[in-house]
Amino acid sequence: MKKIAIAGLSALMMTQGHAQSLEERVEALEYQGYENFFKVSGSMEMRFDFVSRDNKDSYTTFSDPNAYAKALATAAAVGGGAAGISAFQAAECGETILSGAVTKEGCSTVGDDQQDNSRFGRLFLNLDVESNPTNKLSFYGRLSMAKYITTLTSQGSDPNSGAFSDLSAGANASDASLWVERAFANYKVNDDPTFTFGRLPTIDGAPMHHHKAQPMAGNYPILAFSGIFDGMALTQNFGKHTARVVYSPLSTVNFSDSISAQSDAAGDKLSRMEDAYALMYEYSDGDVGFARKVNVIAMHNSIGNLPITGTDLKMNLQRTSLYAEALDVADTGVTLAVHGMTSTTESEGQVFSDPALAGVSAALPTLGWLSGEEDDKTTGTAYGILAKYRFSNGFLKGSSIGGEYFHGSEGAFLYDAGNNDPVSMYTTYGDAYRVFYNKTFEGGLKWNVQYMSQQQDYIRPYVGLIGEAAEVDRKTDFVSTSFIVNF
Amino acid sequence: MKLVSLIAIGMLFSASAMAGTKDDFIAEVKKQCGKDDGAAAALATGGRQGNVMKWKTCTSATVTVGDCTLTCTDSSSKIGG
Repeated sequence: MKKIAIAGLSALMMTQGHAQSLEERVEALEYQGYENFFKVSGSMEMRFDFVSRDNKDSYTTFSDPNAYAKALATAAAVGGGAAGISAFQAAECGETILSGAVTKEGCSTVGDDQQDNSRFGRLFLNLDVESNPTNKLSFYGRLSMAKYITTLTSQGSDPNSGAFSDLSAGANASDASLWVERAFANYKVNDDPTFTFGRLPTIDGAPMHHHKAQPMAGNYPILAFSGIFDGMALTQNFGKHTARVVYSPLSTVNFSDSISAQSDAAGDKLSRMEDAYALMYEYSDGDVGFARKVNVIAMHNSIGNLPITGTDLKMNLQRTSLYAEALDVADTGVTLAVHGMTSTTESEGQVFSDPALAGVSAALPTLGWLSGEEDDKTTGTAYGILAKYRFSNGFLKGSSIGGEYFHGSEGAFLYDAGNNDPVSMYTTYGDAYRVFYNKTFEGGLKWNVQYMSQQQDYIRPYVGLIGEAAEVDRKTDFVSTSFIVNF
Repeated sequence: MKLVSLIAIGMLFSASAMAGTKDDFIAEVKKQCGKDDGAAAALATGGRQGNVMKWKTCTSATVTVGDCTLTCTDSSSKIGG
């Protein structure tokens, strides 16, 4: 009898154990099913900007140095040497001179007391892809589209076709094309570290997520380097600390010939791939006491010997940056963030280095990185501070309001081509401030509105970073409003 | 004695294969809001619109579940996931 009872009891134990396991397995499958539904995820933003620019002192920039140099050379040839050059230099950008033989092209001038206003609508779409085929391997991808609303005609060069455009592919409004903005795989080597390679999630970093009430949307803070980098990385976690090294070389491509040696304008060998790397330290602490969470990202970015095709211009860039945020300080709903960077830019050579321009070189400016000289080293700093308050009750519940300030010094290397703002606050050589408000409605629709004002004290003539800085007095403001959904 | 050991074996067999996502959520609630097992489990409401999926999809900087505010991280924006 005892034996039967024991056998019966043990059978019951087995059955109870097995049924419980089934229920929990079903629950796990249900969650997996919900997650699969959300795997087709992403975000979309429709944004309207109203921009006004007030420029006090005239300045000229180059849109196409090659075209400019060619026109100057033609003016010299047609106008009899020095006389032709003088006529060219005295002309306005876009003006046709020397009896219609030459148009001063490749440059544009913003005049004294020139005021411009513009409004435009844009649509940004991110489609996110995620795959976890094994417990050691995960893959994340993002397809991005950025366009102006229903575009009928356009002029000027497409932002996705010029030099450096790969750093912000899919982020600058052009047309309805889809671009791969990120595509990276993480592989856990044992339990730690993690090896990552692909198109890395570096763009849209801090503090951009505060304006949009999102989690951090990119790993490189904007002042570290705001761009998309392809490469590989090794990440090691030590509890609240993370150390990471990233190797992301930069390519100079010749689609017509991928194997033969390339030379620059001076005849020196042009490398097809140059080294660029980043060292990162992250600290994330949810136990600090004075705030719900503290995040710190310190980085050093290095780009070595970067060439520009068609010139002998080369750059070596070192940037050291720090970003720190404290979320929900003392349970008040206030978030504070500070960020800063220091850069050292070494420039060698210049844009107008084609030997064919020797005859007119005296009439051409020297365009080096952050410099008007052929070999130069420029240092500079930039910093910013942000404060945000999140309403947790009352009729404004689900909203947050914030303000931000930024300052960039004359010698700083400031780059933020992928920013959705009409002008990026983080490329201000001077002071800029922003106020923003976002409201998250029940069910996930977000509404954003912001006002940004930028006082630009210096302008460089080519792509904002090449040539000697000219003192200007240019104020650009914009008001923007957007609807954002995360799905 | 034999009965006790059999009961012990039975309990071992019922060791769970719980929903991983729900486990992660409960662990985060305990860590970020200092809740105990029971309170954290009570906040782990199910379904697509429940708290667990709200935290998992991580579409805003903070996720409020009851009296607890959770910070979530977007793995697609982090090198190393």
